[in-house]
Amino acid sequence: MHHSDHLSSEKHQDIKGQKQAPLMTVDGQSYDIPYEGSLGLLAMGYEGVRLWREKRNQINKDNKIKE
Amino acid sequence: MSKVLLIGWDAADWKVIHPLMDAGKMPALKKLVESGVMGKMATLDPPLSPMLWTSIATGKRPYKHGIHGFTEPTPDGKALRPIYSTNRKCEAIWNILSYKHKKTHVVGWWPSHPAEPIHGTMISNFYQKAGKSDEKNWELIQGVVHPNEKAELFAELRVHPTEITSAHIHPFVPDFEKVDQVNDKRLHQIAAFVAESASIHSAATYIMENEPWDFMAVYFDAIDHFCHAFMRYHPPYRDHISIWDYEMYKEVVEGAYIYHDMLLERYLELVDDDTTIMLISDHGFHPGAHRPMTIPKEPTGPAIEHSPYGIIVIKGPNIKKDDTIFGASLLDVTPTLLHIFGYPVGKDMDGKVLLQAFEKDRAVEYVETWDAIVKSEIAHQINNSSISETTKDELQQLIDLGYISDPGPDIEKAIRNTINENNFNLARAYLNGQEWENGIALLESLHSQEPDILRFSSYLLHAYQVTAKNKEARKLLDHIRNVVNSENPQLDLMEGTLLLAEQKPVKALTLFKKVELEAGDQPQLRLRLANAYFQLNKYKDAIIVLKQALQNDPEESASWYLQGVCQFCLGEYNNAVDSLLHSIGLQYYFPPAHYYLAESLMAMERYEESAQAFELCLKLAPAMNMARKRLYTIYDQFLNLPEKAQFLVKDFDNAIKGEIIIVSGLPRSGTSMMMQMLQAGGLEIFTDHKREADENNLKGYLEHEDVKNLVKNKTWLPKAVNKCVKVVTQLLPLLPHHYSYKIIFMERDIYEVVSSQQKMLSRLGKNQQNDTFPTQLVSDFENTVASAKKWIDNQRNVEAIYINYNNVLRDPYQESLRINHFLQGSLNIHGMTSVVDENLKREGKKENLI
Repeated sequence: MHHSDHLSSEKHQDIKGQKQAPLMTVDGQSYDIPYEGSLGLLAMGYEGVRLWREKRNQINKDNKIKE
Repeated sequence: MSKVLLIGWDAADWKVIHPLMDAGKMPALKKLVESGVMGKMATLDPPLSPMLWTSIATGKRPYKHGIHGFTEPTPDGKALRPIYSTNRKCEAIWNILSYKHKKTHVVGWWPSHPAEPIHGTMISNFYQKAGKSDEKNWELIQGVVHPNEKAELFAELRVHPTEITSAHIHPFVPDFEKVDQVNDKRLHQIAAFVAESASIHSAATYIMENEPWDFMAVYFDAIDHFCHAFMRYHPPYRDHISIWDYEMYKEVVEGAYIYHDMLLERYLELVDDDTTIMLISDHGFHPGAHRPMTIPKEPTGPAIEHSPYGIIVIKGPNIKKDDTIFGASLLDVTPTLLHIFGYPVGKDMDGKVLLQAFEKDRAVEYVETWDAIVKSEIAHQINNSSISETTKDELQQLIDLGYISDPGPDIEKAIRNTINENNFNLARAYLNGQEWENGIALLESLHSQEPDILRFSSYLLHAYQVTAKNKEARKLLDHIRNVVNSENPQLDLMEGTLLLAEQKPVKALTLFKKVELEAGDQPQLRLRLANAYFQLNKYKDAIIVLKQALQNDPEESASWYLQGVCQFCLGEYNNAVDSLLHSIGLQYYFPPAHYYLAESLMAMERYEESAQAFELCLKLAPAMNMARKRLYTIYDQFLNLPEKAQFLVKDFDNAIKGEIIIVSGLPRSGTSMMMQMLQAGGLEIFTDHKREADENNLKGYLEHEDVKNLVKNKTWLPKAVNKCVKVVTQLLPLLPHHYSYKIIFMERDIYEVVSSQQKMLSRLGKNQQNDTFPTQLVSDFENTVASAKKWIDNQRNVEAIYINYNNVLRDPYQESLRINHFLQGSLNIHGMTSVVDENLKREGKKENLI
């Protein structure tokens, strides 16, 4: 286990200002929020949980529509 | 004014953290450590989290703060529930800061339910638990959130365990897919721990990002939970662990620490440079060879896995950088926080300000107590009454949540057990705070109710030994042998320890060596062996054994202490200073270590440092007059500070509440005769007349039953002021220091004393060895008298005159004059002498006038 999936604080500021901005890892890699979530998202705190749930709900909704 | 962020990681231990930091796996903590101070933080006994975290939040020991266990009876006395914060008898740091209008937030502190109406948001320790509820029907218990109108908002921020996915589990258990989840629930445990800490973190980060704050306290219990469930699989591998389990779960503990480091990194991002961050744990958790093979099947048994040192890291504007602090205790957290905020420390707090952490010194200010100033009891009562309506449902929910086990059909028994366990915890807290009398009283009560529960009797035995109640200890040990009813090395260890207390080191040494031979190394065995060598003045042998003990466990402060004392006795002062500093670094609240450190420094002519150590010693143990005397000498003779020397004298004299005249000596050394003489001379005698005259003492004993109970009961002392009271030699060192004493110490040839005692025992039919003269007793009595005289010499509040029994019989007039001079009084000399003359005439022998 390592820290590589921890998300950068700078990007977090972007998220607060512009919610559609992609997340970045601390290594500077772009981070697409996975459906399953990640420890990094939990470690971001309430914002990470909120973003993950939004993503999860959106995918669930899309899947329902497809069905 | 800067902000303060306090983060609690239950059970975090440097022994796990250091290798992870070295491997670059905890970068956030490494950053914090390098930009602040770090140290070990000594825990308290018993190491039970609700008690410890309340001590952290109040700066007070459990007998002052009132939280004594995990559970408690409900207010109606019909059920059990987890311990509520309403039991807390004093103000916590969040009450004090709220009173000072600081924006104060607390998340998850244990125990903090029901949430208190502080000047900010409080989320109680019932917030994050999901139990058997599913994600969609996960209701928040009433009283979890203050203010209540934010309850809905914070309920949404929680993470339910069913939300946790393989992506979260994989970092802890890389091969998780191979786990049979129907029969092996350990992945579910990990999911619950991750979800619970995510909930706490979510609430805390929300507050920090959306509300103004001056003080933020957030507590995580997950490291403790991860360790209790998975430390057994942590490397290195041990033979009794299943290899499959080991391979599957060996990374979980490491994962838990790394996960917490990720949470910490987020906090570091959310604070500015003016914020002081304090990261603490309440105790450690044995990671290596000290891991127990089995857990005792008793309440609080899992606490055996806890180690006595937690962690502390502080970083902030006036905090030293990349430095280490020593001697921190969890009691120091609240005093230090108050000092950071610029507020005075309560004199009734047991902790100290960790001044060594600060770059610039600032004098510590004090108030008598914050409790009288803040007074938040009314708020507590409001919360308590609102809870009573929901207790029944709540209790069932808490059982479902797994907070407490179902007490079963016999609720009365469960309640009785809970009360006993909490009293046992309280008794241990008293012993830990060296409040021996209160601890012994509670343990005696528990032992009388449950004589077969060994942990009650074992602690009582220990307390008896420490307070030199050897007769009681011997009786209790016999009882324990009957209960255990088998050969057991622990019993031999207890026996040996009692022999040490009875000053029988040769027998003790033989027994300890037998244990070593038959049962191998046992916890505390080497320390006890060393103690036996020490009593035999074999300091070099003691040091050899102690070095072995310290190689095995370098965190054993008692071994460092004893090694230091042995080195001091050998004149190896440099080594002694080193050992004693190690001891103090691990266990600050131990006055004898400060005393011997001061003595060693004084021997090295390092007088300023010595004076500091004596000052600390006196602060911790104001009754230690030997330290006061040495400090006076240093100020007066070596540092040329006569004002400080005089201040010491005045400070001490001001505390004196009155004078008591004491007649002391060994039994059958003439103490009763002296009491009669003083009575006839006109002095008022403090006696209850319960022990009547008999054929061994025809004029009566003039004793008081309460005096014999001096170790437990000192309440009679005010009634004895300006009176004369008989106190046997063995009890003299127990006299409290806030009275002055004039001691008339009766001396008699020890062989005569022993012979007289033997005759008396024969008359009472209690002596079964009439033909054997007890030579060991002679030596024991000589040691008792010698140590009593040494004690007298070192007490500023004690004056003594030594009166020989035979001289009184030979020349009562002359001896009465001496006594009258000593008491600076106008005693009736004729009355005094006539007591001796009349008895001699009437009885024709001296033996009946003892």
